[in-house]
Amino acid sequence: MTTHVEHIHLDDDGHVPAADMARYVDGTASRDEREMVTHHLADCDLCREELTALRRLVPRRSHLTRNVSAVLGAAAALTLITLSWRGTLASTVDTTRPDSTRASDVVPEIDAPFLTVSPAMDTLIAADRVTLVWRGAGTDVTYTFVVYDESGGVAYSGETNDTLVTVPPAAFKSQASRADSTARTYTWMVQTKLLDGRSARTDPQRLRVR
Amino acid sequence: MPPFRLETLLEATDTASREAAWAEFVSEHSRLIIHVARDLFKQHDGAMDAYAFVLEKLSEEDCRRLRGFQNDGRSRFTTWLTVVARRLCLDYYRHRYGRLRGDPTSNGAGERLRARRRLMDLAVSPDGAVSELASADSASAPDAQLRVQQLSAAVGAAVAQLSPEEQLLLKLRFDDGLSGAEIARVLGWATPFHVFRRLNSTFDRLRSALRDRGVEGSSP
Repeated sequence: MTTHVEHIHLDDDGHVPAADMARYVDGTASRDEREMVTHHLADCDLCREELTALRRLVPRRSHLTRNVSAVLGAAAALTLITLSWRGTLASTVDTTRPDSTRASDVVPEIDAPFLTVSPAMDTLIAADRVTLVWRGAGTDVTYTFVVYDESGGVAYSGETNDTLVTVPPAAFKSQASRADSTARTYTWMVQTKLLDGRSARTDPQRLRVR
Repeated sequence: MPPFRLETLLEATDTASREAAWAEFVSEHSRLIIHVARDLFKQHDGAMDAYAFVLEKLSEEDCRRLRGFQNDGRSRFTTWLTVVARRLCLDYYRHRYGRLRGDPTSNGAGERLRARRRLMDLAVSPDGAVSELASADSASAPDAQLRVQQLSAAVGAAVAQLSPEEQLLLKLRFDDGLSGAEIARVLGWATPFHVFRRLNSTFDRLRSALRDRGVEGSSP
């Protein structure tokens, strides 16, 4: 038996108001609001179609706030490089905070992490064959990439809409001045800003260049 | 550079500061609006025309539409803007091209009927007997058509007893034809498994409700 549900105040066109739909999509609607919108969605084709489109357009909400990402981002790259790590650091793209307004049997979705793809950590590569590849973070996204040398200085950086960049050999020009062919260690990472303002950053990846 | 603040635009008192704040708003949110426009207008020119239309509507009457955002800390402005921008793009589309293809107000009666029969098959008779009844020639099998109508009414009444979430789930699956993965994304569930598990429990409830009404199968 269905419980009586008060109808939400619809807009002039008889649909879910933008504010209510936005809260529904963001998962910030109260239990009552969510139930009322759900009740309307079951009867309204246009609002259901809109919700389907919005799920496609709006990035999934994350657990850690932008403030945390900003704090991490504000830490100097040199500080990150001097950290000793074992294995992969936790991704800076966050997990979804459980929405208390949802049914108890629903497991919140975990965002796909923003990860580097290639080269793998500590790969040894010739200076004239360094191509950095990372996983895409969505459409219409601009990525900022940085390669640091062992002293923490920026060896190469830039922006791109692609998910890869080929680093020119000149970026590793210190290699040319070395008498021996010992590989030097670099660190690279990629940062991006999503359409909803959230920042995402890959883990720093070590790269050995000869 | 500090992030754009909507209040700066809405509370601007003179033309110069208003224009500067508007320019900052456009700079900050154009990517999002174009992203929305491209989702509806696959051609570049159409998307850019829609983008310009959205900006025009957002700025008119002293940003009347932007003043509709409730800054109560519960909503993300970008999500709200996405909703508003998409609705404006739809207005632009209808203004320019007429009724939107796939608009529910267009004639989709045939597909709806098929969707309802699929639902009836699963709820009443998984062997597809209801669809067989429905496909029988109405002139030669009036009893079959009457039976289908009775079953349809019974299923409709049973569906109305389900929770709003279950009714929405059935609409997404049978009326809108979404896959399990698509439904999971729309409803915010973790995996398609959650969708199918809930569908199974919903059909168990449907069948139980139909049995209570004396409906055991497609035969009277």
